[in-house]
Amino acid sequence: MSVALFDLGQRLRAATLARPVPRSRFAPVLPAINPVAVMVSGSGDRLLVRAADASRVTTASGQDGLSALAELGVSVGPDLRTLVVPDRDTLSRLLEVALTTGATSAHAGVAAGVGWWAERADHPGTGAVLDVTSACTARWVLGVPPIHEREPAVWRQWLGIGDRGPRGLLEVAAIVSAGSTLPGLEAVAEDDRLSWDAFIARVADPKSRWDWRRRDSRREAALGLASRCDAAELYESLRLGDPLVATRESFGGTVVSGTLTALPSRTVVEVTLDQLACRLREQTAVEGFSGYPRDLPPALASAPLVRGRVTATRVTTDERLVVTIGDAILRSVRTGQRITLRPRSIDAYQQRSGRQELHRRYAARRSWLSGGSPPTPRRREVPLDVVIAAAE
Amino acid sequence: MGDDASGPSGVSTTGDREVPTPADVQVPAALAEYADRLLLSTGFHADDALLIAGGMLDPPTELKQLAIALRAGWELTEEQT
Repeated sequence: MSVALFDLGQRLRAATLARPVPRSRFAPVLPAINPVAVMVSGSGDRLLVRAADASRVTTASGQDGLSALAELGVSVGPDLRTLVVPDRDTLSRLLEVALTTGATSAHAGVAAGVGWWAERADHPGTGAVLDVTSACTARWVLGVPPIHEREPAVWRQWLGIGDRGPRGLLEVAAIVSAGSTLPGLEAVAEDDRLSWDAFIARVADPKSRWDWRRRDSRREAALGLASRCDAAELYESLRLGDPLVATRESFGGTVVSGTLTALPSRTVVEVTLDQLACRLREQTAVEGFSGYPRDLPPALASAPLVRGRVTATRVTTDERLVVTIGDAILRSVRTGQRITLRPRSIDAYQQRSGRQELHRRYAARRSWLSGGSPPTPRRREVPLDVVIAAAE
Repeated sequence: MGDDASGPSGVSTTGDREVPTPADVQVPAALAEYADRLLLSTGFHADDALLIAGGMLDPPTELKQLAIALRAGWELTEEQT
């Protein structure tokens, strides 16, 4: 409720000013690389694909829809390009067209590229696909109800973009990615590059029988899931390093602020929070920085004052929430100090080495994922806490 | 689509433009309807929320948190413009 009210304050301000107001200080997306914007309308023989890059607009229809991208030089080559789409639905429809394109078709390479874009689009923060609606929603708030912000046309209108076609999409993409990029997103750009290089090597390998259209093997599916989960966790963590996002999240309790009220031992601190809303559950790894949510530094940019785990929470008789942090590593802290706690920052490089380890383990002969028979599913009682944690 | 009553423009700010105050502004219909639903249990309406956010109306003490959240959103925007 508080986050919705915070947003309402921003929406009313946007309506008063008659222009978008910022939800984040940093650009929440990577700058597009040699972008190609695509819009899809109709279906079957009436399918219409319109595409544009910096210099040209192309159109194609029906089964030949992908030729609009081919004319713009989209191919499976060394150059990674950013696909700009108005929304996720457009990418799904483009993927449908790609999946029906034969392996011997003149547009097989374009289709493979679309397949790779669709896979990377599942990784929040990717620079491979720029979903204009999601990016705008992450960057600004409009003076409209939230449901209207799902419409690309509303963003175009509020951003003053007159072109309703793919050229207009490129304009929005340039505006939404302008300015300083969210610190840490460069790690996702590296993952995009690694993924693209691996993809084109696989597609171009004449000895390989691999087909991007085929369902993932169990091992590929498991690694793909790990990769997607890592990306989602990383992006969420990086976003908290944006002062405006951190301020908003403080109204939902993901980020909490208060005063350091006790230092019972060298590894335990107590923080009395300003408000009762707190989503930092026991055993959550946290880090604390001096100041308010708006003062939080970008993830991993500087050493925190406190690093540890939430070991207990309690409400005092005067209705204040006290969070106890145990196993703490402390750096020049004192009681009375203003401190803001956030979930511990995710390290993209640790994630990457973790995935490499998974890759190694899943490839081992003893792993059922790599060839053995799958274990028999067994049903048993699951503790409520585990169910809640899984749902979260 | 959207709310035709609003007068959207580009994201760049115009320093010399006179900034309207909450009292001067009528909340666009679609946003007002959304705000009314959000505030249903509080007894307030969109116009009240606008005045509260802009610091021109104080809610009763039991709704202090409502004012804090609305003003934080409103003021955060002001800090950035």
